[in-house]
Amino acid sequence: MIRSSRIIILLMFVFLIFQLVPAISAYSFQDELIWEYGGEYKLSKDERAKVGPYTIKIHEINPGTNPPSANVLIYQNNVYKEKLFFDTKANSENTYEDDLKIKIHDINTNNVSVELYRHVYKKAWVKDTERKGFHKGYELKNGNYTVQVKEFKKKEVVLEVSNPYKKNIFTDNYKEAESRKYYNEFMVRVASLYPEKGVVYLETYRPGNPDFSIDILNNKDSYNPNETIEYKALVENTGSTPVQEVKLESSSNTGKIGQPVMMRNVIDQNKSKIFPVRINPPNDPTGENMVTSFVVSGRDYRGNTYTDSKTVSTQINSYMKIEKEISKEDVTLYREKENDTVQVSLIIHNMGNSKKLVDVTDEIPDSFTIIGNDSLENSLVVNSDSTKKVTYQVKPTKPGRYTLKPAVLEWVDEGSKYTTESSEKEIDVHSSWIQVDKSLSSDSINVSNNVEVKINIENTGNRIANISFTDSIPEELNLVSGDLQWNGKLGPKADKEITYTLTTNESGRYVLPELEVDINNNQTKAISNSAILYVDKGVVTEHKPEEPILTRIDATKFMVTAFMAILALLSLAPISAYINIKRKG
Amino acid sequence: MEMITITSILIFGIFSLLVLLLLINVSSMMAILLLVSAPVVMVLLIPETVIGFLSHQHMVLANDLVPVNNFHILLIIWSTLIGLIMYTEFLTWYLSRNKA
Repeated sequence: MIRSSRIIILLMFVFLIFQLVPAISAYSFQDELIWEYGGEYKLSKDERAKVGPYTIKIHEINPGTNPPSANVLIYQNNVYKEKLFFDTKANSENTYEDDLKIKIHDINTNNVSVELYRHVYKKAWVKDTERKGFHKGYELKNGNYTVQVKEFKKKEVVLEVSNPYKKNIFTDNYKEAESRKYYNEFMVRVASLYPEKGVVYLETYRPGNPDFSIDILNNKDSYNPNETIEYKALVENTGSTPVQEVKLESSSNTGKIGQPVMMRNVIDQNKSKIFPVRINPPNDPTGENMVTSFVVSGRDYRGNTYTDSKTVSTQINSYMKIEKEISKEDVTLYREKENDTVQVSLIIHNMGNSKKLVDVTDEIPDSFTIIGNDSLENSLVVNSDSTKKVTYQVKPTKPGRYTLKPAVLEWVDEGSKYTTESSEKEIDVHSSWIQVDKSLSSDSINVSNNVEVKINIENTGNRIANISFTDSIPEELNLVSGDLQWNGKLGPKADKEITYTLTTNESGRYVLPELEVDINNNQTKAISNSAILYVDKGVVTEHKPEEPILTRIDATKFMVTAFMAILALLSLAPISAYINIKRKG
Repeated sequence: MEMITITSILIFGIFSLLVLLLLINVSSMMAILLLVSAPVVMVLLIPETVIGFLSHQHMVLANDLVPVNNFHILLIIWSTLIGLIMYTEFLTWYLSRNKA
């Protein structure tokens, strides 16, 4: 019996300790008893709000009374405790057991706007002077305050706390671990006391401040208009005391914010909270820059307000988007069992609110050919919030590095025409590329003379080529040496010269025809120029010394004749006169 | 002025003076004979030089249509001097007939 009663007493003692330990540990000399914000609620009749162990319930709303009134029921750990009366004027604030504060902001027909607070201990004082030993008569200075050790008593020390800017000088007895506050701005604490040694270890404390910082964790450079942006606003209290009634207000120049104001009751020191802010971006045909501002505010236990702000800017893309994709970026031509066509896909996204008729225009490099009936210009309807794909096949024909220019998407929105472009794509085309040139050692020869025909084959591509050809010559020309046929391999950037010699016994103008060169087993051809050969008869003209145009005989004949003619002509008149005179005389 | 031009002026000047001197001091027949014989004999003696000299072109008139060379000048001198000699002879005859 005695044993069982002892056990019961022991259990009760243990229970008492368990009850006391949280109460003791809940309070520290650095803490202040403050009304912690518990949130703002709009409650209809019979609706409840909970803060800590307390639940409030709107029992009755009387909007017709003057002023409007309401009865609120208080529950603690779900046990009914009290009914409180509120109105919007003198009785707008009430407390329960000095632990729960209820503030009524508004009472209307359907609901009551209520703000709740709880009395809690929160860390408010921050160590300002580290623990340090002092003897009698020594002084500790902190700001304008001076703490002087006056004397040691049994288990106590007498300290004098003075401030030249304050009226009073305080002389207080301190026991070990005892602390006192002065003007609610300075605290002295006896950390350790050794009266027998005449040493006291002192610490001083000052009220701490919260400090805000806001950061946006996930801002991208651009967003599509059909995706909801969820910014994660990280609000961090880097100060030394908690901050309460933390309010995040978000605003945007063009976007629509789901919840422009968000509240948190408290953020303790060195703690952070994330506010998820959802924004629906604007739906613009050209896209635009969306600027979102975040302002966070809160207050400390003394009512001082703290704020911080952040502005983020992001590009909201046009609601129409076109993407270009190609099936391969490396193409090797003229290889058996290898497909050398490229599929180009144009993917059109309509992220807007209505279906659109769009024109898609694309272009390909000059050396590419489009296969089949595919077209580079297409018109199609793309429904709202959907995607359509346009594909076509192209075949490169010449080696090199090519840029497929952006495809252009064109549409009309409210009478205005808009365009947007896709990205560019690069294609590397690998192949041999053969160029053939036919030339003669001389354009004209004499009959029976020889002429040398040079065939120069050059591979300017980046792959080896198998080459074969058989040249043809006019019937009148005869092959003297060399061969009209050749086959072999020609590496990248290499060239080959093949020559043969011709002659003929017949004069004339001969056309040496174009040479058709087969490349990679007739997969493609290269054609040379033609050449023209003139063959002369070979008549030798002897050189004669030049003679004067007139011989001496010719000159004499001409001169005598000319003289006689002039003489005869000029003699006509005198002879006529002479004959006439003679006849008359 | 080119050397050949100066030479031409001198030759044709001297030639004309000689013919006129013969006409005045000797006789018309001697003047006519010198007039024709001097160029002909010179051509026969030194054909290349004389033909080259006579063929030398001094100028081209009327938009490159009318070339003027020493042959033309010789013909002009001949025309002028033959005319002078012929009319001198005719007038001499005519005037002396009345005296007789």
